[in-house]
Amino acid sequence: MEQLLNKFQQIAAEPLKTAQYWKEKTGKKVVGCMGLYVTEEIFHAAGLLPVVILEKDSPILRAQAHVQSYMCGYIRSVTDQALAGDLDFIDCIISHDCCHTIRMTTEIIKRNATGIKDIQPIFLPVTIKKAESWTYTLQELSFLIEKAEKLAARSITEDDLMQSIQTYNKHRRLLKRLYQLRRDKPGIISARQVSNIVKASMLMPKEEHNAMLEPLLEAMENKTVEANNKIPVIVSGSLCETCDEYVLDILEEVGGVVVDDDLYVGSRYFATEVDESLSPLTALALAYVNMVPPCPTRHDPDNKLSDYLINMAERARAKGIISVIVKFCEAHYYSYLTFRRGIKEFNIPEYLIETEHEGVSPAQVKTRLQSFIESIRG
Amino acid sequence: MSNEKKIVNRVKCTANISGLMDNFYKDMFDDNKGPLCWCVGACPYEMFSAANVRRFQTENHAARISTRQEQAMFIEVAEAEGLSENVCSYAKINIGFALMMARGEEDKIPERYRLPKPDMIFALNTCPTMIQWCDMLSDIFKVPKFVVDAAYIYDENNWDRNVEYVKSQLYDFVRFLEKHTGQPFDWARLNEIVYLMKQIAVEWRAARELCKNVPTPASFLDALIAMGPKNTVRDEASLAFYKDFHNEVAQRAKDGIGVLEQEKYRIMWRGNFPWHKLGTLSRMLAKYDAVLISGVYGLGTYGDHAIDNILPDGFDLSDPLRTIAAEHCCRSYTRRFDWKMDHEFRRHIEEFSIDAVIIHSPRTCRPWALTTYDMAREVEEKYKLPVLVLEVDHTDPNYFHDAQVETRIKALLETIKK
Ligand code: SF4
Ligand code: SF4
Repeated sequence: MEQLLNKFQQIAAEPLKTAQYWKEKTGKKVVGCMGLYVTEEIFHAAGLLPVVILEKDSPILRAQAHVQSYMCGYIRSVTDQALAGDLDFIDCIISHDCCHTIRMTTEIIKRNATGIKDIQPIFLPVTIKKAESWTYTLQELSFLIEKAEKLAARSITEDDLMQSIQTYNKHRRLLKRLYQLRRDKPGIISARQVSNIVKASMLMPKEEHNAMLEPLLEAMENKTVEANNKIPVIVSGSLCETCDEYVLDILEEVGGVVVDDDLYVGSRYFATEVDESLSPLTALALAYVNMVPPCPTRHDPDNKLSDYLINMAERARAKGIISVIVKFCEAHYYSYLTFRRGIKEFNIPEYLIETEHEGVSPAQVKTRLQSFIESIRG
Repeated sequence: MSNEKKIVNRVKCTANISGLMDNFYKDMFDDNKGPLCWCVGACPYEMFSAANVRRFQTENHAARISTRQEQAMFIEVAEAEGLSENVCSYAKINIGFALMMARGEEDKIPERYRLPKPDMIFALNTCPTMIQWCDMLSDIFKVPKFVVDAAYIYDENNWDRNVEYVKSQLYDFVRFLEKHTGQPFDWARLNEIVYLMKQIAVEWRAARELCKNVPTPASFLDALIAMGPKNTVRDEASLAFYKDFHNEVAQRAKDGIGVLEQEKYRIMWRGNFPWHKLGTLSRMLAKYDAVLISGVYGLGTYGDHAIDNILPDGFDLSDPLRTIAAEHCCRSYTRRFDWKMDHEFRRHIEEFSIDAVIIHSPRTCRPWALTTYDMAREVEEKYKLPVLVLEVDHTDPNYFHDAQVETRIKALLETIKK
């Protein structure tokens, strides 16, 4: 188990290395996914490797001249990577227009990062449940299929798409099993380790990730955890980027244990399965408009974040909810407040942490999380 | 450079604006004029008129509060409720205002800003903030909402598809309005108002173009004050006002009457405006014989595309909903930033004898802030003009420090070689 966990950790530590290596080995093309909703299956079906472009820990240097310090750290870091040439090996970047920051920055990258081979914005409806949105989504996904076909210089058949959907669904189910095990045996795996596993899955071929997950899950099933008096909590948010691992570490150091999450590099990534009984394009579009986790950047009035997180907390028997907002992520600020107003009647303790690329003082985070956990312990 | 107070010779008829807008807001209390909708964003106000629904624009209301520098209280209320300081300051003001109303604290609100509670909320997301903001209002007042999603047109070849996308939602909105008013939608009235908007656009555009004259007969600040009726009221009285505005500006141009006694520096503005510092900025610039000639902000609404055929759609009176949809699709935020917005920006620099450019990068508005660094570089490199990027805010008072801004403006003017 330790060995596998180390491997996930190594992949997660150097985000683009695996894809670069894959490209050298196979001679095939790599597609970078920016933003929240790029349909990876489509590129996978063309024999390409879709990987998620995540933030990098290094200081932001070049991007400062183009993107204000009062924009989210994710986008500043991605712009910096683009300007530094880190993304030049990627054959095409698909940038999903999940918010205005990403919309404008995509254009900034296009204008200034001369080494970028191709960067393509896509727009998916914000009001996901309208009739118009359905047609629009189908059109946009068809456009992605054409794009993938051009990139791979081959056509994508319905069978190709279905096989990719199956591979991705299998992957989703394996990750769901991992989460089930964490709910059943709190503390069996640390929040940081789970984050590494999901992060690695965003950076490598799903088949290989599946092959690593299966023995890990088996080992976990056979493992027991000692009873402890840690406070079970769930963590939500951190859009577009990995939730800062030190936050997760501190949370578990001060007496909490993460029993479930609604993080972007977490359950949000695999929560929505694609219906294998429908035609592939319809199924993929349906997975978008019927996405399971409520998204702060989308509009779906009937899918409330407060209900979703309350259910998640109940299912995992969690005693507190921690929201993590990437500083300057405007949509999330609103959605957090609506969530906070929505859970008032449930009397469940909640706490907000804002993270910044440049980091916030761990000592401060520690004091605050400690008092939050202690207040639940009562 | 002297330090005495300089006279700013404003376009006289703009003095009528405050009365016009006061009356408009007074009407919000008139129950005979149909239900009340609070509108977030640049909305299809013509449709509300045709449905006999009272409405106002929440940003305009927030700006109104800010021009008298009374916004801080509302911002504090919103932030105390848990809304981040980094959210658009218009939204903070309006949500703070809404929270106070919902809590029955109306008596703390200065009388001139008071409003009735909404019967419904509407948003059109030319900026993504608007949907979330609309949701929050609907949650605070527990009233129905209608949201129109305007797509991002990253490729001009997608123009038709995107206009149809918006138009089809506007059709649904007609049904929503009919349901909530219990009355049939007045299509003839809609046509009248769209035609009215076309006439307003002609007057407005003509008046603006006259600012190419030296000295300029009107300033950007005159335009900012004058844009309220065009952007939110949209009725016969608005057209009458823009005719007066155009006539007066034309007369001034003919007589060689400028905004300043001595017009030494002609400055162009880009971005939304710090409403709370309208007077301060005007005086600050006048002190050094500088005037804001034109600006890319809020001026193109119902205008440029229709007249210049910059965009594929002009006014099409046979299809008013498509015209309205096209109008919303051609907003700078819904299009690639190097397309329309830059087009107007560059045209102004080239045609209005500009000496320097001030670019506003607001701290709480991502749509106006992003790309400004690149634009500043382009102005310097391509047009060899001095640029000042002002990182303040459209209404949040915390980011504007008079002395600091004045020092920077002075430094900008000193680099202009005359
Ligand atoms: S983290 Fe938030 S602000 Fe940044 S790109 Fe993602 S959705 Fe936009
Ligand atoms: S465009 Fe800017 S100022 Fe206007 S509502 Fe959006 S964030 Fe606020």
